[in-house]
Amino acid sequence: MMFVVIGLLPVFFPQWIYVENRMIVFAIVALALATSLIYEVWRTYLEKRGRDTKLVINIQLLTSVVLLTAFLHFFGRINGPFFVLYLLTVMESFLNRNIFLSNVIVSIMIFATTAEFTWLTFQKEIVLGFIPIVELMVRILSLVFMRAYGFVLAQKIISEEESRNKVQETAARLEKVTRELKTSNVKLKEFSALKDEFVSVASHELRAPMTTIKGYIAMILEGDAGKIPPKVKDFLRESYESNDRMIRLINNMLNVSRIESGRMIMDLNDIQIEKAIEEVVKDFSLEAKEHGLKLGYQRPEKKLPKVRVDPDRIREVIANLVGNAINFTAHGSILIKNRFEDGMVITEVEDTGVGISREDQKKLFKKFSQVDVISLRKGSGLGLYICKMLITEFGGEIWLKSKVGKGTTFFFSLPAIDHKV
Amino acid sequence: MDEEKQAAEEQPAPTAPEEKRPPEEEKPASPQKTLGKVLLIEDDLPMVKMYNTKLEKENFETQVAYTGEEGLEKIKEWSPDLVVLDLMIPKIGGMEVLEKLRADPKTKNLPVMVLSNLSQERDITRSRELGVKDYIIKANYTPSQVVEIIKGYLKK
Repeated sequence: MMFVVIGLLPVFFPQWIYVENRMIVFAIVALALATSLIYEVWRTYLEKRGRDTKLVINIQLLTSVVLLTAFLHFFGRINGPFFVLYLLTVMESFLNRNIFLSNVIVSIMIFATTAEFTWLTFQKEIVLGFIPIVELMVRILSLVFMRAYGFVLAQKIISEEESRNKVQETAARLEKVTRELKTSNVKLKEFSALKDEFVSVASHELRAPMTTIKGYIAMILEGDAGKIPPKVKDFLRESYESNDRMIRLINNMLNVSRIESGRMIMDLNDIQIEKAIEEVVKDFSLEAKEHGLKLGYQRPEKKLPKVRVDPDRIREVIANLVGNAINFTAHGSILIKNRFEDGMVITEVEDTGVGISREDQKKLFKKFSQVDVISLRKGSGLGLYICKMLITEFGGEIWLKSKVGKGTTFFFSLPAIDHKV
Repeated sequence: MDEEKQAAEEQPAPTAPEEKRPPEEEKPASPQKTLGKVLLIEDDLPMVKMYNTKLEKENFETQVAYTGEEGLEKIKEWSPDLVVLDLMIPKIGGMEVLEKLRADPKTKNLPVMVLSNLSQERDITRSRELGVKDYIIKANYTPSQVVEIIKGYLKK
């Protein structure tokens, strides 16, 4: 742009050119216009392709400086040593990239140019008038323009460099983070494997003595060691139940760790829920009887549709609910019912126990939650949590209705496989 | 053979050293009365005693192997009707015993019941792949319940 402005001056005011070689000045202007056009096209092309434009900008600047210097040489009458300084100023403003220093140098240059003029006037080489003043102004303006032009280009290159550096920096940081993540991932995996190994070995080692305690007590209770007095039987039963509680606790903890880490493999089968309930009821009938409770199953008249579950796990859920009902019911009954509703097979376990307050109901299905009432046997606080996880896994829901002092009914639903049955 | 026995004897817990080899091992049971021959591959002595007592009471003919290697030998010599296999056993692990049994055409279809306290899905899945009758976690069953399950398999 600057070439256009300065270059057009001799076109409109040819009388300003003191020297005879007017044609040379025009040639310089034409050359400047042509080269800036070429450079502009070249730079746009490179920018579009996302390539580095630093080289073009440098060459463009260098050409501008040389051409302007030549232009001023031929345009004006003054060919003093300050032309070299012109060149230096522009170069400096570009190369130095320091605004303050650049401003100082440009100020010195403007002062020097004015001083040269004054000196020449004083020497009577120039007659002070309108035209010499314009020439002075053109020189000063060209200096300022040149400097600004160089500076803008320099800024462009700086920002390009900065953004490139930033990209490289970000890439490096990303790479570092990725590497760190990989390492910690490997460590986590190792740790997880170690934890699994530990849990597995620890549970195995804990289960071994519990198995024999359970086994021998069961054998004594079954009369394998001869007849035993009722009191001994009663005490042994207590120890048997405590031991069983520990076994269940280990099982529950293993289950929780397995469910949470997604390692639990479900052995899904299409089954009749009635059969599973009957099996659980059979398992608990003795215990209920001992506690003086009536445990019953009201089998529906019509056969229920099948459900897709892991039979062992669904028995676990039912056993958990029935076990809880027995633990929290001092007297009365526990009744299990089934029904088919909206494509879901619903099972309910109803007791006449202590009931659960509204506050307790809210946290009931959470991990390690314990209801704050006296129970015959405390649980691990994991049972209902596991029930919820399992039922959810099978595509159903679990919920309850309860009244303090009246009893509790737990419900769980499972999606029916075939609706026609 | 000697090495093997030595190793087997070193293995069990230091308690009750006299009882390492229960004498009932070679008990001459009247063959027409037994419900079947059960080989127990198990290294934990209290457990061996417990299951053995119950099985014999229910009229099963039993033998015990304390290591995997011994178990494989006894299967060859004695040809039991059912193998009750623990997984954490010395020398050759239970899973390896099972793999070896399945690789041998003679024992390919021999009924095996895993009776272990390991409950990792990995073990359960692998055992099922190798066609075990059942995978039972010891701690969850009383000896009577285990014997009931065995009865169910051997009932013709």
